[in-house]
Amino acid sequence: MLRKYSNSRTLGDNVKLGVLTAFSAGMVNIASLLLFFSFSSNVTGHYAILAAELVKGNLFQAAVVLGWVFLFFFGGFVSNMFVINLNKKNTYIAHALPIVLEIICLVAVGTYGHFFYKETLAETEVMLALMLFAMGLQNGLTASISNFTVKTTHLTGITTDLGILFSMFTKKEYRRSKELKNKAVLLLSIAAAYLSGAIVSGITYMHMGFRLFYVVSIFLVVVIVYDFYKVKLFRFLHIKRKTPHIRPVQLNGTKHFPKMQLQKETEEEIAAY
Amino acid sequence: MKLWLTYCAVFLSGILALGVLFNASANPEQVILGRWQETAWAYEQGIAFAADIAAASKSGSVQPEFSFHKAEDWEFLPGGRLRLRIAGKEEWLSWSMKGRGHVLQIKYGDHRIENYQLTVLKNNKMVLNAESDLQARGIAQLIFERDKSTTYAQKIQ
Repeated sequence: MLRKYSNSRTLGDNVKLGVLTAFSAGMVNIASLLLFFSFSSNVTGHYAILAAELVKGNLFQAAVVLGWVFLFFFGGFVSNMFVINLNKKNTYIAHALPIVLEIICLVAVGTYGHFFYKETLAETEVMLALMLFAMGLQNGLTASISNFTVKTTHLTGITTDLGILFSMFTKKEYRRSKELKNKAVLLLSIAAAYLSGAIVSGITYMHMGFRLFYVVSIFLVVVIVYDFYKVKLFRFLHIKRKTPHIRPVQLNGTKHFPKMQLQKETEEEIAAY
Repeated sequence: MKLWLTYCAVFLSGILALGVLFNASANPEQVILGRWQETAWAYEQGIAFAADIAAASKSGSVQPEFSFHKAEDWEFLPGGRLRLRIAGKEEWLSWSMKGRGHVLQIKYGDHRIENYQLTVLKNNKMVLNAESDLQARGIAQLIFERDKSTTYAQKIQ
């Protein structure tokens, strides 16, 4: 999910990353709506609200919303800074760091909300700001590493793309296109995961309250650990194949070591590392 | 180096502008403090649900979904306490603001919660929209005017 970059990513990589992160975003968005009466995974509505508050002369509210929009932007900025600066040194670390930061933000919101929240407006705004930053990080990362194919914190673009795709499927030539079919699968998976996350969040919120953010964090930990396990496994296999503890084969009275040949998938993975 | 300085300057200017905006504006949590008199209820006409509420309020029966207060005045105190005066009696509730300061949440002792959208919050006028769900906003409004008499909140300011 996180090891590969841009065009070396497969449909499976994108679907796995898209589904897990969209599910998390759906949960966070509904949790923030139910707990704080404001969305946290998209900013389109916030732009409209910002304009409305400015028109009404509510400078405080306008400043709050402007701050939230800035933090969503800053999340995307920070995320991509990790990707473009650390990608050549260690792709996995470059892609995992924004998710780690996101988990820290969400755990902070969950812990503060559960143990210390006094329901003041300042606390509400700071927690929402943290959530928007976290969602900006996530959206920035998924968009950046998937060559802008996967965006998981809002569904406006995805719904538009699906509309376009399904209109294209009315033509036989497009229906046969594997690329378009893959894209439809990816987008539908993301939309379904986001919706599922939102529903699960809505149902469990009454029982879990702020602890819901721990559950979201667990999903994100799965994203990191899954790839960490893959990295470890790959390195283990790679080192094992390189070490000459292979038994020599007797051919015409002399000892020969069989030629090492990496599988195609492994060669591709080397490029990804 | 020059690029980094430009980026830092842009970000710092943005943060500074936000700070100025916060300083120049009034925090709704502070504006709401004090005593407010409920002066009117307004309903949007032509909506069956709103008409039901209006009819219920006139007949004095329990209103559907909402339980609007019929307090003569509401006093918002620091620390999230709300004192209502209803027919000479006092009722103590708690209040908090949510979102960007656009939702007023009132909690009863029995854990019942009512949410109102703060449509207008100025020094002398406050309008609360009852919020049953996201689609039904704005159908019923409670309009308040600030009570000029000295209140506890004003005394301690």
